[in-house]
Amino acid sequence: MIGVRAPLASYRVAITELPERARSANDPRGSIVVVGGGTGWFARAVSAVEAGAAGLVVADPAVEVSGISGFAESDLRGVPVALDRELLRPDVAAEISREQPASVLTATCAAPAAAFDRTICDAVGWLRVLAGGPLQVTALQAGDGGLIMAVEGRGCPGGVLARVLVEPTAVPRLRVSAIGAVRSEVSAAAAAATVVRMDDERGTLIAPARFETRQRLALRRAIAAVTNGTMLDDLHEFAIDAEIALAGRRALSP
Amino acid sequence: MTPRGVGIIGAGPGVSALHAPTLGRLAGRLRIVHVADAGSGRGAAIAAPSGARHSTGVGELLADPAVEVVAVCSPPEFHAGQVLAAIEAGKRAVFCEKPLALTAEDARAVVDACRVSGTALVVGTNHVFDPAWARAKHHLVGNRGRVQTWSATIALPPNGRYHDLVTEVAPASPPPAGRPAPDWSDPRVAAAVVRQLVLGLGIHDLPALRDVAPVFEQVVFAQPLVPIGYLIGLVAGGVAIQLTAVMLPRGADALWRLSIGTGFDDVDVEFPPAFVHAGSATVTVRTSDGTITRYPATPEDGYVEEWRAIADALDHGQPAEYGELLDDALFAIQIADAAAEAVLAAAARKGTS
Repeated sequence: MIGVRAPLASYRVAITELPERARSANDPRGSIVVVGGGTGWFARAVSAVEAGAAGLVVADPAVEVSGISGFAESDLRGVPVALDRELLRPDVAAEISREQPASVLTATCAAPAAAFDRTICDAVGWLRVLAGGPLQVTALQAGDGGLIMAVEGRGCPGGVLARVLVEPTAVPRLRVSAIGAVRSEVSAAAAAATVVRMDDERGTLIAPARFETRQRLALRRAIAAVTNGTMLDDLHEFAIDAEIALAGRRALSP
Repeated sequence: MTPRGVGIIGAGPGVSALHAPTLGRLAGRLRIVHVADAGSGRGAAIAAPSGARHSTGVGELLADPAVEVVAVCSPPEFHAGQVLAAIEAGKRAVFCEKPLALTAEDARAVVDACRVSGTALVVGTNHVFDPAWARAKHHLVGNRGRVQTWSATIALPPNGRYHDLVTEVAPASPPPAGRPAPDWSDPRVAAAVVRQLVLGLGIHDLPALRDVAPVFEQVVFAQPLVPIGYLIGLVAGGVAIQLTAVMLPRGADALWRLSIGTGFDDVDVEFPPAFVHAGSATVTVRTSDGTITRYPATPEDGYVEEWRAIADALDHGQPAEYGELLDDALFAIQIADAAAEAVLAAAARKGTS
């Protein structure tokens, strides 16, 4: 049983859903600390580590220029960090099959301005998952409210289309595909289940829905990492994805 | 009313597996009276079921008084010349498979000749004839929010899978798996193949794209895909556009999807596989709040509708939209040319040209 300091209500619910592994705690020392992902989250994460946190969960991490360039994982002193990204569930990502090479990767995403950066970041993250490695941007151009980007991941070309939705309350959404003899497609929208669909000659397989909340998933992963003394790649992967997301944002709003 | 006589130039799979069976669905209005091949002899098998004549070359077909409508279904490099020949022969209507022409000069010559002679002209860009596109376009035009992004995603298994469902006439060409892959390492080959694919495959959707993004601006990137395909990013009318197509030697059923994003909605238009008659495309709209509306498909598809347009032109004097047809052709040629140039430019940057 490990203590969890969770200022966010959704994480306090997650604690109650892990009664044998987690208990609510106020003292960060030796605990897992949940950090809100709003502006300045990396600095708050470092502060939590300095206060003795054994593990961190960052909820909905913002894509920040200062945050990305200021990433120094050494500041976190080997403390494992689980990122709770709204449209990129690591449990679903772990089950994506990359056995069949793809001819091309595609992604489309849309979000209101406030969520645009992290939505394109998650779309790029899914492309990284489908490619099996980090992406590089090879071309980029903005239109009126939309963005086109060429990427390449492990030799596989891809394209990203992103746009800003008008209404501040609009639901962020994305769809990414790896197209080859086997076609894998991931669709995700805020507050909706992520759908993974795989098509091949035999027909269509839709992966089972994940009913565990993403907060419980993030907490469970952080607890496992702390308990087992392992690190998570979340922060490193996020930094790679966020660089590309920021390039897109700059092109759209120079 | 006696069905109008159709003379088909070409005897490839597009005729045996597509136009001949489609015309069978409009038997009361159109009937095949003549099929001309280029010497393969395949025209006979296509002509036989309807008791039509068959010949080699275009001369006999154009001289055949039973032919009121000429269907130009030959390889693309012959389209413009054969349309002009049909007009010269005094035919009243021409159905031309896409593309209408491979160069802007040819496109202008063909449309001008049709306009002067009053020849009805329909270009077989079947997706723009699909009733589902009209529904999608109505939604896009009628609702708030301009179009910001557009993608056309095409992933095709070998056509033989679908040919076998609509005909017993053997295909004219081997399936893609049997063809040698293009030499993608040669930038000139890569550029030429990408251009050819845009004008042969991508063109299905380019008139619909022009409906919402009429002014071509620039190709941002273009590259060939293995085994055969393209990935193109462009901007037109301020809209960010991605065109993706890949022809695979095996795999999942065809995916042919347009995804159009406005400031408020996502509109998906998913077409059934080519050749088969599985009804119209389906249209799905996702609104800002996440509400998803899926409009039902209708029984008629774009193949039937494009031929019905020819019958309507003859039977009801439905006017041909010459200006639109020319602008569609020029738009496609602009994109194909710019994509080919982008492929060459990318190769030059890599120092391989």
